[in-house]
Amino acid sequence: MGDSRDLCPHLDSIGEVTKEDLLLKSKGTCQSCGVTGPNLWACLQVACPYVGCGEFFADHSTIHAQAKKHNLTVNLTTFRVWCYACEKEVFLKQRLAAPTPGCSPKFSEQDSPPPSHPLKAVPIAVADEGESESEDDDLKPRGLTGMKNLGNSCYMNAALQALSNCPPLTQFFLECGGLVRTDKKPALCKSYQKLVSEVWHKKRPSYVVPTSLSHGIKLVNPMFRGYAQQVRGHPGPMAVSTSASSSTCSELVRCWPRRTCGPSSAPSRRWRGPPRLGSGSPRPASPPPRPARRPHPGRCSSHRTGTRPLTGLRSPSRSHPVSLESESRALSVCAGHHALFELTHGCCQKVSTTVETFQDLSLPIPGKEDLAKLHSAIYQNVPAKPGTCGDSYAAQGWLAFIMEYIRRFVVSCTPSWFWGPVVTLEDCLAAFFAADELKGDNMYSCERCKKLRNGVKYCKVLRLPEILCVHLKRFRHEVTYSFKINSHVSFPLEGLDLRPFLAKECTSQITTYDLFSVICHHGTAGSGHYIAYCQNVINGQWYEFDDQYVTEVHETVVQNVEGYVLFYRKSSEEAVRERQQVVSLAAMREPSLLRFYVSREWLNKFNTFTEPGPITNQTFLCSHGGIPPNKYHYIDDLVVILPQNVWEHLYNRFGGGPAVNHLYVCSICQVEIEALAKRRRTEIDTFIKLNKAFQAEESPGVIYCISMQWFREWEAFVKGKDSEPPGPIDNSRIAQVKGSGHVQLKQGADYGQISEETWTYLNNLYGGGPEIAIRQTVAQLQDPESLHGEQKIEAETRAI
Amino acid sequence: MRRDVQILRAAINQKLIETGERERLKELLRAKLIECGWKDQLKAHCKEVIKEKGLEHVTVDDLVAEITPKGRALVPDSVKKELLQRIRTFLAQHASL
Repeated sequence: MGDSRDLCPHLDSIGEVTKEDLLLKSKGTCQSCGVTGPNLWACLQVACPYVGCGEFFADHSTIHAQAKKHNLTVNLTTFRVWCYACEKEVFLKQRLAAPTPGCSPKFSEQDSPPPSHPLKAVPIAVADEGESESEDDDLKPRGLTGMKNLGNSCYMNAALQALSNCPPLTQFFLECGGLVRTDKKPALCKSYQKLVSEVWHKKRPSYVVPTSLSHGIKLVNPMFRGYAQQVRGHPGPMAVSTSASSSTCSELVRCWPRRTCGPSSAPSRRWRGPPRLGSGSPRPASPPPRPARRPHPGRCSSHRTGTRPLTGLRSPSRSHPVSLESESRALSVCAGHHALFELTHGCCQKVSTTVETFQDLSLPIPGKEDLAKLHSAIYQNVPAKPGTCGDSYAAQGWLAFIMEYIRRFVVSCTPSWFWGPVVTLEDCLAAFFAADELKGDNMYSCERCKKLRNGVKYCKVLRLPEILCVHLKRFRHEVTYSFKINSHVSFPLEGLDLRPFLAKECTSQITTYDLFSVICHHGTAGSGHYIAYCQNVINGQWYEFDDQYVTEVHETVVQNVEGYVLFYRKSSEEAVRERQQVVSLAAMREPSLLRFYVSREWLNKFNTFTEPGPITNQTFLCSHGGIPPNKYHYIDDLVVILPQNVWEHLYNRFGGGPAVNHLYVCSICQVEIEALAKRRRTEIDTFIKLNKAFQAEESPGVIYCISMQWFREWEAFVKGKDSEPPGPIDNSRIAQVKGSGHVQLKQGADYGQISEETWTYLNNLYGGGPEIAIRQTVAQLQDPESLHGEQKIEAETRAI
Repeated sequence: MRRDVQILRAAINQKLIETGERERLKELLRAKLIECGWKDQLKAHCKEVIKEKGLEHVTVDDLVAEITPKGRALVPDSVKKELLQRIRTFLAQHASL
């Protein structure tokens, strides 16, 4: 249903038309036969006033058009335009749009060079000769492309714009595009890559239509189909619809990285509140759910929270980013953060810890009473282990500590009607990370003493991500109603410091964040609109992205919006300086005898992350130091050439490696691959041959049983679906060992029937057992005792 | 009837999409077709076609061409009636059309 891009060439013949004009005409009659509407057509030819009936009557409108050769006409019921010459419906863009406030497209581009901004994009391919851009191009902002609303898809558009303006993510898709490979349908990462390329293209359209991406998202996550749209004035399904629409924005952002790059190892889990804690040493896996006597109602029960009736997509992933897809590496390293949950047992004062990974922070918005409690609680005797908040504040310096204390004291003393409690983002963070007392109805069940206990639970950050996604819980959904917290939460545009919330074990050096995108919601829980405000990475200006319309706005506008989902990225002047240093090193164009190859993905990280970590060249190398044969044909997508001086600087600064001067296909790997292929072919051919012979036998004397589970593993291996061969044959699942030691087939076992030769062949290759044979001999009529005896004799004789 | 029908179809379709009704109708249709056994019938027919043509020789286009007329014919009247009724109700509610 999108606008067709190829314009009708006959549109010039249209005169001045207004909506009032058309409304008036629609109330009239056909000028040829006098019949009334609906479905009259008005001729659009300049200065032609003709109105005629349509095809359901005498079709005088068409007769007129043919007689006068007037090509364009408009239907007075639907206001859709038809061109007789093009024989199709055509669109006039803003011509017939009703004048609504702020509807006309306002898009302004920066023509004059703006003041230089520290986040100015550095050309990524440092040594790549073909990438030089002129100065003008460098300063002219790109990426200021709107997105068409596909039918209440503003939530998706806002989320996409926020992600598009996230430099590490977008640069990955633009620069490391060759790494985006997948066989999975619907290949969301490919759709997203295409969208991002269109949006950031030098010759971009004023807006794009994200249909294939929308379709892909809906296919992959059923929550975004059907009910993921706002429905007005419908009772009943409303609760589901509105809860869906308000959560979809944050859910989209949250599930995004997981979906673009294929499944990671962890399944998603229904989020019901705080994680149930188990005792024991910190393990990366989520603990098994252990409910307290009454389920804990929510993270901070005293605060106004948004409960979520739909599946939460927060997934505690086990090994954090270990998956081999480089896209998922990029994304999960970007946005995931680890949180450490510490529980002090009321019974024994021991501390249990659990580590969980989160894609984003969902913060409650504290109410007035909670604010006061929060501000005072920090400085009182909170029942806690030593070395919690007190320590972290000490780190900031005593003066700052005292000033903060005084400020909060004054705020909490003053009656709220005077001051008006301004909730800050820091307050929400404090509420989230505050100590939770588990007592009374909220006691937890201690594993050790098997009783319900009081306790205190803390949450601290273990690892800070490059990109921090903060979601403010503004929506609350009950069965019969929903409501939204509209109060303003003030958030900093720069310098958000997470240091007070870090665990001692946290190794991140950089703890300050700057805002780069915010999604805000206007309206009520029942109906509303999402808009994104993003800072452009090229010129540092803030822009409003309202579906198709992109407008430059001032910083102060952004500070005053009603933030719903906030996107922060780590801020580091040092990282910017480092990049500039590398650019100047490259610009020197020092001749070097050796060329050095570096992973394109790592270089992209260097250019967009504050802490890229050691150089990771092993991602394009095999264990023998060469290029794996299957990657050689797209090696250019994986590496970038650096001159020696640049390589040495990066290597000395970040370490890692290894240094690569020569790209060659690893012959060892090649040989291994060929040997493997040969093995697979041999095994499969032999099996087919033996099995055919077996099938041909009309009455085989003996049938051997093989566990289908093992067989399926073997089949997957020889067909190339699995790279690992199966272990020894494991018939234990289908075997039943009788008292006499005799092995028999278990009742209802999942087994396959093969010939003796086939069994021998596979057993010789893989070993294992136990051997289970079924004999179809006359001896079946004998009693089991003698049968067993016969089998024993046969087995013994075979052994010889 | 070309022009008017096309225009009306486009307008109705847009309305259906904007209100999310189109998605709901699709889901409803899916459920109904499974419930009345249409899906199973057609699946069986697919298998027959494949057996007939041989697995190595059948293409997706072939299959689609073969099963489409059968599929259309097999839709029970009750399902057609129900969906039509749903659409009529929808149109009545959005009377501007």
